[in-house]
Amino acid sequence: MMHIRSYLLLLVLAPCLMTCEEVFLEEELANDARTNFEYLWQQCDEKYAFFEYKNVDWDSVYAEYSPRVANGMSADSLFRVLWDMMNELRDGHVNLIAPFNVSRFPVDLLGPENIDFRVIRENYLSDRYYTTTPIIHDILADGQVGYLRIASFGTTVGEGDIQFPLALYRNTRGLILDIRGNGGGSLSSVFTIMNRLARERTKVYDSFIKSGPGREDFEGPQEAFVDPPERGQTYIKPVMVLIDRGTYSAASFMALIARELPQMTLIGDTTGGGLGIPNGGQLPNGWTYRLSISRTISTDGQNFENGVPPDIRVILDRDLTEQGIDNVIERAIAEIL
Amino acid sequence: MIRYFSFFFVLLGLQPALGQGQEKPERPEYLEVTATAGLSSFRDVGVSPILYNGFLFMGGIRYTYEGTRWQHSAEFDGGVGFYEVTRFAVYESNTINFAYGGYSRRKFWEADNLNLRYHGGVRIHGFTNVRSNPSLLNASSGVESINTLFLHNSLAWDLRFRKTDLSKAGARPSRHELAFELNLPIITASWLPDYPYITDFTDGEPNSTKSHEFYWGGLRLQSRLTYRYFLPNGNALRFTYWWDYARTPDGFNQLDFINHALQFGLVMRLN
Repeated sequence: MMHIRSYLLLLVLAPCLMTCEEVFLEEELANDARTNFEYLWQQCDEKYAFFEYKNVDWDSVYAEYSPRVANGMSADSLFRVLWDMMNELRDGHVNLIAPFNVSRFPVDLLGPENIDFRVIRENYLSDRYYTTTPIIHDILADGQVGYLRIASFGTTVGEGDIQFPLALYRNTRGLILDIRGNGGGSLSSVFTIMNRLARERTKVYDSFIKSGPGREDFEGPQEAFVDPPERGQTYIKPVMVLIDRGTYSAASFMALIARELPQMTLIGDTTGGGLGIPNGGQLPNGWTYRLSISRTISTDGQNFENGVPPDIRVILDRDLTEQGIDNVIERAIAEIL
Repeated sequence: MIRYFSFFFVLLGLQPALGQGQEKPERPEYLEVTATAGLSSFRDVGVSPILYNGFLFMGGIRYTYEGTRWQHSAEFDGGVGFYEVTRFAVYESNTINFAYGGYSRRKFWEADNLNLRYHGGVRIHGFTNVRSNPSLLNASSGVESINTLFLHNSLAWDLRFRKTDLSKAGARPSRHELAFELNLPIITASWLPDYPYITDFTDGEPNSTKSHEFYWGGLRLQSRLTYRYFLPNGNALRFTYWWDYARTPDGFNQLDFINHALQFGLVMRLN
């Protein structure tokens, strides 16, 4: 009988343990409007990388938006308040993502539309232009210039994707790399391309990443280099990189790298910037957010978070596009020839 | 998996015939194949204040030496976890899990009349998770590792000599063992994502382990309730209820991990 009791006692221990962690586990944050607002404000306060650079007083932002938040408000209303608050950072890498909406800061609207791809298709590309995903390319100017259009880095550029057009246009006098309106994506794609356009190993920027909640808590620098591969097709002749305000994030990194390479020239409008790498996180209500948590500094010590300027400023002339002329491409061709 | 376990069941069944009449040494060694299913939860404060709940499935292998005074064991498990949380939508997090460790313990006390034994010693146990949660954007993947040195306590009740009324005269009584194990932390080392919580992209190539730091401390508790049924040849079947709680030090990247698991083991005696 005694052993049966012992047996039962041991068995009883198991379910008792199942609630043990409740003693140690902190309660979950409340899922109400006020808690979500406070949480997001604090995440931005401790992690956002550009308060000083953008001259944003985040405490004043709190004072302005806090009265607009009350428990019981609708999810859509809360979303709009949080959207407005985050847009005070004026950063395309700052977003709030709910199942019913995504907040955004329209960096591309800070400058004029600088590309009309219909004009390019109808007047510059042949009927059978190449699509080597994600690069659209063809030959221009009687075979003297290769044209590569990359509208997004959302699809990763493989080594083969870039080597094919470089081999195809190896006998041209120069390349046009058109990244106008390219909103970014994979940074590795940028290096895949730029490594094959670099003449030698070249330092292209320094990266500093947040290391603590203080405004200037950063670690770094982490140095970034482009390095031409020993094998495969490369291209070291002049390259004109076409940019505009829609050139953002990874595409802006490409512009920053181009700035460091002597055979490359930036033509068009200032990029949208977005050189701070965004993180990701989740609010108590499940919505997710991202915000920039790193700084990228050029080799001459400049912060181009608000945009990489062109070497030659050319804005798309609407009168000329009516005539089928892209004056940004025309200027690039002229620079090569 | 069923075929895999069937193979070991056959092995367990065959070995009695092969081993009949052989004298078994008093210091048995066991090799064990295990399957574990758990109800699991985690909260990774660095990226979310929400507790994710889900299931953890693991398979593993374990070696055990059971001397008359000293006992040693080593184990390794690998598996996958599926977690989710529902708020406005369902958010999912998946993990690839590795658990490893072992113990070295000594018999300190024995009550022959009750068939009770107390073993004390140290247990090392760690787990490493490769986490994936696409909704967390650039923080969608991460690696965390929590490793603990425990003060190990085990109280085992051996039913080997206990005959019931149903046992026939002359028949060998079956052997059962029930053991309760409580592991109290001595020191925990955690390897967690550092402040940025994102993969390092500086040179264009993601490096998910570059931005990690070691942390000492936190809280880890573990208990196991194990039942072993021994076959006449010394092979055994093992069932364990396993509770594990881990909490890394307070801070921006505090991690809570809870696991309630049932583990089944096919125990093969090696000598």
